Amino acid sequence: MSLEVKGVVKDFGGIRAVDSVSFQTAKGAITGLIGPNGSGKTTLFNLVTGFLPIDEGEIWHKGRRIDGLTLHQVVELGIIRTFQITRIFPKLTVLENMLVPTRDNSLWHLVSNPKKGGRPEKALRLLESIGLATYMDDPAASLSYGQSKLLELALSFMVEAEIVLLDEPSSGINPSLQASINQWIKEENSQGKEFFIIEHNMDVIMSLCHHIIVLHHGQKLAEGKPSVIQQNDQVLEAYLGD
Amino acid sequence: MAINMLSLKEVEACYQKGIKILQSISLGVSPEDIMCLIGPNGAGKSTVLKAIMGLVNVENGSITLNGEDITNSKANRIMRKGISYVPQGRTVFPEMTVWENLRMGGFILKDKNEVEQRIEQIYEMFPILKDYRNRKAYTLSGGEQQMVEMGRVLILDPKYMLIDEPSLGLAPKFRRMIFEKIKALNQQKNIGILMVEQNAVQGLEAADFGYVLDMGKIRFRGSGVELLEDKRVRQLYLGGGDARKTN
Repeated sequence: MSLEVKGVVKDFGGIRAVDSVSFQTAKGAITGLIGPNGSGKTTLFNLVTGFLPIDEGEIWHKGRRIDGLTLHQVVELGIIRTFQITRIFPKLTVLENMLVPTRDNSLWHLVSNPKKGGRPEKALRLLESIGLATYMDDPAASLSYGQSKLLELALSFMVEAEIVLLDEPSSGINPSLQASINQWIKEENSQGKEFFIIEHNMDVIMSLCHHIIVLHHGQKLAEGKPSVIQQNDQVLEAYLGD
Repeated sequence: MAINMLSLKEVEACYQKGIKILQSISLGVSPEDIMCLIGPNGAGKSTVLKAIMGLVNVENGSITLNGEDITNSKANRIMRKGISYVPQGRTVFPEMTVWENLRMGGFILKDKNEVEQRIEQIYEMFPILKDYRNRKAYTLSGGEQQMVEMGRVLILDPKYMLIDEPSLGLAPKFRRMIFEKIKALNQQKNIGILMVEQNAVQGLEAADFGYVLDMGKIRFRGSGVELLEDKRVRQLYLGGGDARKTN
């Protein structure tokens, strides 16, 4: 077991966004988190990564309690994430963005020689495979919405991490790139990196995930293998429609 | 040139001088049409919509509405002429209620009674927005927020609606619902639709006609069905394989 979420509750004003949710992720697995819009998926990510404090319950990682830790403490444990709305450094170039998480991030290094250090070969290989290599030296601000999403996703592959939480990695991405993105995820996973993925693209979820958790109105509606989830009547009704 | 039409003729546009994002784009939308633009990330799809709205500089070519030149006009003037624009990503005012968000769409209308009447019409189109009218927009789900965004531009009673990735971030059930609403706007209100979609298969299925953009140029054009069945389009832009299987 890797992540363990026990009876977690989160309220926003009068609205219960996450309602007594419990689950575990298996070490080294790819776990999917699906559910209708507004079901609490992103909020759950915010709670696990320490972006928001929980109201009730506990969150554990490898036998260590992590709720209550600050953001950077969670990151230091090797738990990182991407966002639905991208957060990249607009004034750094595309390549510089890629190298930020991989190198000595002291202020001096950042201002003195932002391109040195890190793993430029890996960065270039990733940029190549998502068609961003030609924009390597352009400021990230000049990228389109979809390209910024791709950059952020690529960036998450640059980090040494134990668990990567991806928030809708395929939204806004052209379907022709999906195969290469799936390939990276599988590659990194085979080397031991764990993934926890929010996604609305069922092809992606069903082909990548070992285990799927379904949220609905802040509660866990179901969990299980992809083949089981696809047949679950409640899931079909609440989420997949028809 | 057809009179009742939004037309782009050989449009070239750039954000920075010298770097052309659009190269000689020609296309037309009439009020009967649903048009869908698809293509890789960075192809220039969103830029086409921004060029029409006067939000990016058109260096060459022309954009006309019912024969009248609107190239590089100001966005507010273009909206007054009947073209509305729903940008990419969630753009509701999160701390405002649904009703306040809808009213913001009528900001440029002087007659506030008219705004209220239009809001009532929008409630008929999207009944859920009436139920939620006093809720702050950020408490709504993604699909409901997308309806607020569409409702907000309908206040101006547009003849054309430009929508950038209406299905972005939506669950399968809501995605279908949004495409159905778009079709209803087209069929019942006679609003011409020009949408950008990365969810290319569903976008093309909802559309009468599609264009594939790549590197700022139109590479393919055809009916939604033709493009979906075109082997090259499928291989290059729809992720290969049997495109229709997706969700």
